[in-house]
Parts: sequence; structure tokens; C-alpha cells
Amino acid sequence: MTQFIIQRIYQTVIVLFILSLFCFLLIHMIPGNPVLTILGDEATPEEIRMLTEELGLDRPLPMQYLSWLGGVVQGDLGTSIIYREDVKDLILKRLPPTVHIGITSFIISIVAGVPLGVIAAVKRGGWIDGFITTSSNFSMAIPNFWLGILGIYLFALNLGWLPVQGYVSPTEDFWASQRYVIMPSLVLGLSTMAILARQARSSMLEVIRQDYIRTAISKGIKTRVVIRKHALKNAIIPVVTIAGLMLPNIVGGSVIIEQVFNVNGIGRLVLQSVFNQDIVVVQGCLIVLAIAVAAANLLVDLSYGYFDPRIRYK
Amino acid sequence: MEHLLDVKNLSTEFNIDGTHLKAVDDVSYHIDKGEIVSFVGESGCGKSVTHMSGLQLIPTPPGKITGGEVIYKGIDLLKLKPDGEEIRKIRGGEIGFIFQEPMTSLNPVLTIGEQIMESIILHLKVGRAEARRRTIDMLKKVGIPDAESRIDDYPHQFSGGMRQRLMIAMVLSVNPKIVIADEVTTALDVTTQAQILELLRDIVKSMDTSLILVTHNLGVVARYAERIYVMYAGTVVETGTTKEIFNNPRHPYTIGLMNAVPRLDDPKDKKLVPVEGLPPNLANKKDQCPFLPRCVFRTEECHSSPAPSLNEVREGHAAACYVDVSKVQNNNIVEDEVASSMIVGEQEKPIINEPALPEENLLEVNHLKMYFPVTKSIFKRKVGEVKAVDDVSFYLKQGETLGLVGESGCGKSTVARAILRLYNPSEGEINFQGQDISKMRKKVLRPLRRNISMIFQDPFSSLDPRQTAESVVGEPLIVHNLVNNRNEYTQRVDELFRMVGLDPALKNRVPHEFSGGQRQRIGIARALASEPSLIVCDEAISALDVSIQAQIINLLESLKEQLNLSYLFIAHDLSVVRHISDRVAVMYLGRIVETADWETLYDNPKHPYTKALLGAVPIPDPFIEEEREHVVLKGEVPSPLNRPTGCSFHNRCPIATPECKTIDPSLSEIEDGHEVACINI
Amino acid sequence: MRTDTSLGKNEVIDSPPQRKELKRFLKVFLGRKIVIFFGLILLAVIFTAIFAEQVAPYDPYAQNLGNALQPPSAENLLGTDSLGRDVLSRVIFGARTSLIVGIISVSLAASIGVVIGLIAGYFGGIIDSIISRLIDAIIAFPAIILALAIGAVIGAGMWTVILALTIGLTPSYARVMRGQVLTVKEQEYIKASEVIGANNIRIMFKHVFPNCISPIIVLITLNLGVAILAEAALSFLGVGITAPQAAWGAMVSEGQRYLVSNPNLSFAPGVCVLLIVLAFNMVGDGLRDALDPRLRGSI
Repeated sequence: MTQFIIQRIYQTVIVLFILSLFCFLLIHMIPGNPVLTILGDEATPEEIRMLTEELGLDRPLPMQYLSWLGGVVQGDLGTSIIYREDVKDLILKRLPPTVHIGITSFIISIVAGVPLGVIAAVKRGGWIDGFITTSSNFSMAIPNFWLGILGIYLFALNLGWLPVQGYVSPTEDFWASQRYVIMPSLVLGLSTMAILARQARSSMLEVIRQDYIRTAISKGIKTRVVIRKHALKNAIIPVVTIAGLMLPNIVGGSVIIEQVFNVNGIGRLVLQSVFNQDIVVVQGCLIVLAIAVAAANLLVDLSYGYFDPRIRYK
Repeated sequence: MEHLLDVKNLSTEFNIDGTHLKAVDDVSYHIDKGEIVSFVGESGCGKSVTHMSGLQLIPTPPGKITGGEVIYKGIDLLKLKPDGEEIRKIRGGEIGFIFQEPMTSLNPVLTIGEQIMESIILHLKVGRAEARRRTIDMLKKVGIPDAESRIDDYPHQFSGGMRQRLMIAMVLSVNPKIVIADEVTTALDVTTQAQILELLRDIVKSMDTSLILVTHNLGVVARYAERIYVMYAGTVVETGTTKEIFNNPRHPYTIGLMNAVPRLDDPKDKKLVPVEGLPPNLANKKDQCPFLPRCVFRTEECHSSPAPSLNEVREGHAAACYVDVSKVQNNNIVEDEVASSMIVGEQEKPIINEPALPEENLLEVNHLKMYFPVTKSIFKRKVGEVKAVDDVSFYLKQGETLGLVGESGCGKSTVARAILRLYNPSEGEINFQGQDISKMRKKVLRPLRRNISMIFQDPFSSLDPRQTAESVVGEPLIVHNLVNNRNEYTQRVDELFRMVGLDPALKNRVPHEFSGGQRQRIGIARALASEPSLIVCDEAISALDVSIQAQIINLLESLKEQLNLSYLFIAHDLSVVRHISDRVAVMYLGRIVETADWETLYDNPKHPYTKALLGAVPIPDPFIEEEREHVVLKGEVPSPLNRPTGCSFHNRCPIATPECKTIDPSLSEIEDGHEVACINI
Repeated sequence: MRTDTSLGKNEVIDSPPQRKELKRFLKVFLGRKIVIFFGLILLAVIFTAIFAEQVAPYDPYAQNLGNALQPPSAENLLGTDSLGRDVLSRVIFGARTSLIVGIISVSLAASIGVVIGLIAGYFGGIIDSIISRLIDAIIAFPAIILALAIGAVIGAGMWTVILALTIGLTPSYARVMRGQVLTVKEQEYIKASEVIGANNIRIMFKHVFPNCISPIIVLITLNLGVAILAEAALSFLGVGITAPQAAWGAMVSEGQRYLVSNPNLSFAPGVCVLLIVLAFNMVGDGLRDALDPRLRGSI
């Protein structure tokens, strides 16, 4: 187990190193002189010189990377070119809604998706299976931005059940907050839920075919107990893997969802900064999101140990 | 008399893609209290499905029980609801099932204790503490060391043989009346097989439980069974007591099976008589004797009559055949050469003047070592070595067959793969035709490869599924530029097809359109294509059914004679090795422990491991088996990672002395050509 | 001596009837009505996209401010947008945009990814380690955000989308291919070719590659849906296809402003995305089951 953990941490560090390199090099990927591109054609030489110095573009590349990385480690993500504000503060301000909606949708997709898939597998071939399978096929194909708009049209504009757009923090007003968060979370989590349901179904069907299930049945155990005790524990292992792989989906989707529902989270910050060509903010958001995804992925990986004794006792 | 289990006219079908396979076709049998009954037959004959059907264990769909009765204690089990209370009480509680694959039959995420206790709590209605106590008792009974602590381990922490013991413990822990053991030792080595079967027999005898032994191994049947059902194509073709059937087989298929299997006590020149052809397709079964196309005793009557049912030929001995084989034998009216050879059973091989073997060695392996590093953690730090092959030397002359035997993990396949440079040997020399190829660069080696070929174990995975049979067989011709044009290529491929007994018209098919035996023939044709002088056969026949095995063995033998080939014949089946080899070497944990010509080795084995191996092989003859002493080798093959000090066999050796723990014996010649690695000989 | 040819003849006569692989494939693939249904939809969409000029009732770029924001009518089946353009015509041209982006990015990603995966899997060692970590890094990162980052650097547009999708999708091919190669490489038939004396190039292209390709074909089909979905999302956000070119995502975004008065401005292009992605997914599933039933659930 320790070896498994060490290996996973090592892999995470490597992945983060590669991503940090990418984030850092982003500014250098701008064709031509990045400073000119950022400031526009009418910049004075003085402005150009100042920004070049501020971005440290006059120093050799490895030095730039090291000092940038050092800054990141200490929480210094630079200063926004547009807002003239600390990127760290900008991100911290925008983080809560994103985390709130993201976690809610991830939980919903697991809690709803996995049981649906298991039910479909157990009732294979029946109408429940048909319904769940068809719904998940649709859910994976629906563009989430469109579904969001559809939801706003139906539940907010026509029925008036939910607020149209925006976000309220749960510390401010808990119940109002739930009303704001529920629809974006559902829309964001729907495709993940569908993918998890599909995976749970196929992995359950795979497990049911295994010899040890035949053994359990030949022992005279009730089908219900065979499913619950013998099949489920095995079937869940590949589902955990897929759940981990879905994390980037949720983070990426939050950009779209925040735009649709007008939520001022990190996703929107990235989008606005892209339009503003505020590269420093983009860089900062990117590295923060990368760390978040990597850390969450690591947690998911480590939960294998709980599900699979073959890893626990290695 | 009322039987414990009475099955009448059981039929099971599988509906696969719209075709109905009659897997079990009108099968009747009975089991009495405390007896050991064996169901014999080759793969696909329906022997497993028969028993699964009885307990309603076949997956439905695609399976469907279409008729019959399974009477146990006056109740027809087929009338019970598949998941109902009543059948579940019998399933597992009264009739236990042990499956073939020990590696996959236990749930990997539950502790073994939990899995055994689950049965006990369910069927014996006892509390957890009591169940745990009984589980520990049972684990001790089946020979699991440290039962008290190992009860909380997971299946992956046990070896294959140990897992089969766990299965036995699980099934027998609830005192069932009948145990069905479905090919329980097929996946295991011969010494482990002996351990498991002896254990199983002792336990069922002590508990007065009936045992149904489903197997394809006639030796196992002869050693353990009291009564036999022979199955073919979903039907029982012959039944009777073991001695009666072996003494006086009456169904042509039974006779065919017995003549197809090499035995440890055969005369060396016995020519195996394969059962020609293939089993019938169960999808389009006609109402006709299923064995008819392969039968050598067939008459006009057989062609025109419906499928024969079991007829009593003697008290308690019935066969499903129209022909009285014993009369045919007496009158000797059959002129068909094949048929007569079947009756005689032991046809003499044509005597050829064996050409004297050449002086120089074709292949000479000196001190070959093959170590695999064991790395740990992310930095690939080497923490140890698996000494898969540890100082092995032998030679092989042109026209000679050397058999390399040993149990799985002994390194025999690694030797083969090192010789073929699929691995790069860690140390030692491999002199082939006078050149050391052990360290040769692969590029330089490539042209030499035309002189060494290999026949692989698995006829399914050793042929590229995307290539036609023609391109598989023709690949060596192209790689080594052995033909000048398309025409020559076609001619040579056709010739190779005919050499291995395949119709060249089939050459545009892809491998999966052939049967297992045919595929192995394609593999042999490929090996012959470059006209090699040495062919390495790595378990070349062990994946095949016995009747097909004989076909392939005969093919290999006749090819050797025609082409003066040399074989390095690697196998775990000692009877087959004895049949085919001129000289034999026995391996244990990466070493050769004994080598001699076949006769000396089998008639006068010296090394205790060789003796144990030979003793573990059951002979398909109940009369001989009755006389034989069954010494079961204790313990398991240690991992090559922590090889015991001194002689690596000392911890299992019946004649070990204290010195064996410290002295590492090397091969020494005790008589001409007979070398043994043991200090106590 | 009896020759063994007699055995062969006997076996041949008795050999059970065998079905050809192609026949089995077609039987399974066309055996499901739903797959045929969506296959036909795909063909129809592809046809429409190719012959958009002929199929569309109006010029999708022709503005008519006097006729803006009209509800569906006989002249304009799906109404008109804020610039008075015919929505149906724009939806039809949007199909072309979606397919072009999808096909170019998926073919680029597949070709690059397959080669990378083949190299990583076949040679292993340090090359494999480097490639695998790169794959991990890209997969661990949300593709949409990657696209935004690229958009920030080179600006919005079709090529931004294609570049971002290619980078985002390549790892899936590399990973699947690598896994396939690792499995196939250990197969006995590869060892058999090595023993025969075949060189690396021959083994790689004659034996390894053909046996790895089935899941790649399935992945290509499924990824066409993924790519179209992502393109629509990026165009919706404004980083993808830009006006005046017709793109479904951008049309949804434009329509969002008139949601209360003209909801079909947003609905119509969304339905198109849903339908085409669903069609690619269903055909992909059908292909997977037909090509190799063992792949079920693995992609």
C-alpha cells in the first residue's frame, strides 16, 4: 500500500510539473512580442519596458520559470494586467461558488449515477434497463450550455420555481443558496452521472459473469445477497477509476455553467481574462485548477486501497 | 433401491445467436450414498453442464433446461424455483460444487474466512463465533498452515493449489451429501493434483459424502473413481464400474480414448491411435449415433438407425452402441486397417534402422542462467532476482528428441525462450551448430533463425488472428527469401499444408475458422517452413483434447522421421514426454535435477523429485492403480525468489538429511549418461 | 508407414461450418434497429452538410433587418434571427462547420495519437515513461480550459478549436493504442514472428498494428461526437467559431438574449447538436459491439 501511495504521489508531482511548465510557457507562446500583444499597438516604449520588467521577460527562460514557480509555491501568482490586483486575491474571491457547485454536482453524479447503473444491470433487458440506458445515452449527448438555457427557460422563466441566474453563498442565506445551486449542479453533473451509470452497468454485468459469482450462487446464497455482498464490491472498483477521470470534466464544465447561469466563479474569471488577454490571470487560474484536479485525482486513487484489498496488501 | 440422486432424461439447450446447441441430450444417471462416480469426456461433451443443470446453475438465458427430472430425496429439483428457498437449501447445503479455476472462483475482495463462514452460517444456522471456529477447523483439515491467522487473508494471498484447498474447505464445511468436483485439478500441477485429489477422497470417505468427479483425465478416473459415466456430444455413451469399463470397454469412443492416451507403462514403440476427426457440432444434431463419423466399427445399421440408447451389456455395464464390439474383436471381421489397429491397440511401429547419431552436438547449452530483476518503487531499484533458470546445461544431437519436464514455474519454458533469444540470457553459452548465439546481436541472429523453429502451447494465441492461414505458414518463406516468385510460394505453402495433414484449399481462412487441432497443425507447418534442423516444442500439445493430442503426437513423430528433425520437447505431461523423447531431463526450481535416456529415467529414477513426479502421475488402469503406492509429495514449489538454501528440494524431500540444507548439489554422473543432482544417491 | 495426410482429410470433412468474420460483423452491427436508425441520421446529416448550398432555402449570410426575429412561418421554417437571417439555412450550414471541425481534429488526433501510442507501447522504456506522463498531464487537465488558454494566446477561431481539440483528443488515442500494443505485444503470435526472424518493422506493421486497430475505429466514431460537442461549447463561449460563420454553439448563445420572445433561436441548433452527438455515440457503440464484444465497457 505504501508503495502504491508513493507511486501515485510521484506521478502526480510529475504531472503537475508538466502542467506548470505549460502554464509558464503560455505567455511565451503568444506569437511575436507578448508585451506588444497585451498592450496593443499604441503602447509607449515606457509602458513596454515596464511590463517587460514586471513579467520578467528580460531574464533567461529557466530563471523566469524558477522564480515563477517559487512564487506559485508561496502563493504569489502575480498581478493582473487589467484589474491591477493580486491574482491570488482575485482567485480566492471567485473560488467559493465554483467549489460549491463543482462538489455538489460531483456528489450528485456519483450518488445517482452508480445506483442507476447497478439497477440497470440487475434488471438487464427489462424496461427499467431500457429507460436508464436510453436516458444516459441522451444525457451524454446533450450540450450542457443548451440544457442550462432550456432549464432556465422552463423552471425559471416559465414556471418561476427557481431563480434565473446568479449565485448566493450558503453562509449568507442557506436555503436561497440551495435554490441557486441546484440547477447549475444538475446540469453540470448530468453527463458525468450518465457516464458513471454506464460504467457501473457494464462493470456490474462483467462481474456477474465471473466465476466467483457462480461460486456464491452455488453456495445457495440469495440472489439479492450475491449482488449486494459479492458483486457490488468488485464492480465498484472500475467505477472509481472513471469517477477520477471525470474530475477534469466537471472543472471544465464549470466555465460553461458559470457563463450560462451568470455565476462569478473561477470559470468566468478565466473566460473574461481570455477575452481581456490578461495572461497572468489565465496562468494563475490554470495552475490552481491543475493542482485542484491533480489533488482530487490523488484522493480518488487512494480510495482504491479501501475498495480493493489486492492493492491494500501489496 | 432408491438412489441418493436420480437423474432421468435431463436435456439442456443453449440458444446462441439463434442456433440451439443441445449441450445435454437426454442424460440419465444416479449417485448412491458415499460413492465416488466419475464423468469422463473431452471438452464440450456436456459433462459440466449436466451437473450445473441439475442444480439450476446454468445461466438462463442463453441456457435452458428443456426436460427431465432430477430427483433428490424424493423432490424433483427442476420443479423448484431457481432462486427459491428450497433449492437454495440443497444447493450448497446438501450438494456442493467445486469448480475448475481455483484462481477465479473465490471472491477477490472478501476474506477467505468470510466466504467460508458465510456458507456455514447460512446452512448450519450457527452464530459467527461458532462459524469462525468451524472454519478454522476445516482449514486445518484441508491442510492450510497457520489457519488461525490465515483465515483473515484474501484469496490473492494464496497459491492455486491452496485456493483449491480453500474451495474444498468451503464446500465441505457444511457437511453436504454430494460434492461435485468439476475438473478441480486440471489447472494444477501433477504433484499438486495428487495432493488435492487424495485430500478430497480422504475427506469425502471420512464424511461418507458422495463425490462426483468430472474430468477428462483417464488416469484420475482409474485411480479414484468407483463408477464411470463416459460422455460424448452431450450424451452418456457408456457406464459401468471403473474396473469393468477399463477391462472390457464396449463403446468405440471409450476404446478410442484409451488407445489415444500415452501411459507411463506403455511399451516405448506403441503407436498412439488417435480418434480421427472432430466431435460433432451440437447445433445441427441429427437423430443418429453422434460418434458415427469417427467410428471405426460403424455398420450399415448405424447409418440407418436413430441414435442408440444405453443397452445393458452386462450387469451394471451399459453402452450406447448397436455393434457388439467384443464379437467384432473375436471374429476379427473388420478389414479396415485403422479399425484393426484400434482393436489390437498396440500396433508395432515399423522398424526402421535408427541412423547412428552424429558425433557433434547440434545444440549445446552450457551453464545457462536466466535471472529476472525484481524492481521496487518508482526508481526501479533492484531488490532481488528471480532465478528462473539457474545454471542449466544440456546437449542435443541432430535427429534426437530431448524431453524437458517439470512443473509450472520450474523454468522449462524460460529455457526454451532463452534458446530462441526471446529473452537475453543472463549468463552461459548457447552453442547452436557450433556458434554461440547467447550474446549475438538480434540483427546478426535473424538469418540464423531459419534453422530453429518453435511450436507454441496455445494454438489460439500463437496465430495472428488477422492473417490468413496461408500468410501464417508462408511468413518464414518471405522473411528468409526462400522462394523466388509467387508461384513457388504457393507451391511450397501447399506442400507444407499437405505435410501436416491439412487441405491446402483451406489456406484462405483465418485462424479462428479452424479447430484447435487444425490450428496446431498450422503452427507446425509454420515451424517447418524454413526447413529448420531444430524445433522447440513448448507444451505443444497440452492445450489440446486427448483424442486430438494423439493426432498431433503422431504427426510430430512421423515428421521427425521424414525430415530427420531434432526436437527440444518441453512438457509437464510425463507420459507424453516418455512417449516421444530419446533422452529426458527433469527440472525443479530452475535446475536440472536428473537426466538420462528415457528408459533409465522412467524405469530407474534416482532423484527423489523424479520419483515423486512419476508416482503422482495416475496410470489409466484401475488394476495397476490399486497396487500402486500413492506417496504424496508434501508442500508446494517454493517461489524462485526465496529459493531454499542448499538443495532447493530439501524442504519437501523424503530422504533429506541435515547436510541437504547447506550443500547445493550439482549434477554428477552415476552411470553412463545418467546424471543426478543429489548428495544422498 | 501410414502417412498422416489421411488424418487431415478426415478432419476437413468433419470440420463444423464456420461463419466468416465479416458476416458476423454485419449481423451484429445491422442487427440492432437503433444503430441503423442513427446510422441513417448520420448519413442524412453528412449529405446535408456536403450539399448545404443546394439544400438550404436561403443564403445563411443574407441579412434582412426588416425581417428580424420572425417566428417560424412558411417562408422561414425556423424563423429568422436578430439580423433577419434564415435560421434553418444557418442550421444547415452549421452542420457543415461542426462536421469539418470534428473530422479534421479527430483525424489529426487519431493519426498523431496512434503513432505515439504505437511507439510508446512497442519500444517501452524511457520513451514510454515520458509519453505516458505527458498523456497523464493532458488528460488530467480540462480540455475546455486548455482550449481557453490557447484561445487566450492565439485568439478565437476555427483553428483554435481544431488545435485545442487535437491536443485534447490525442492522448485518448495514444493511451488506447499503447494499451492495445502492450497487450498484443505479449501475444504468442508476436513471439512466433520474432522466432521466425521477422524484423521490428515487419512485426510492428504486419502483426501489431492490424490487431490494435478495432478500438481505435470505435474511439474515432465516439470522439467525433465529443469533438462536435466541444466545438459547440467553445463557440457558445465565444472562443470558437466566430461570426458570421454559422456554428450551432454560437447560435445558441445569440439566441439566449431572445429566450423569452424567440426560444427556438436557441432550441433549434441545440437539438441539432444533441442529435448528431447521439447518432455518433450510438453508431460507435454498435461498432464496438460488432467489432469485438470483449471491448464492451472498456472504451
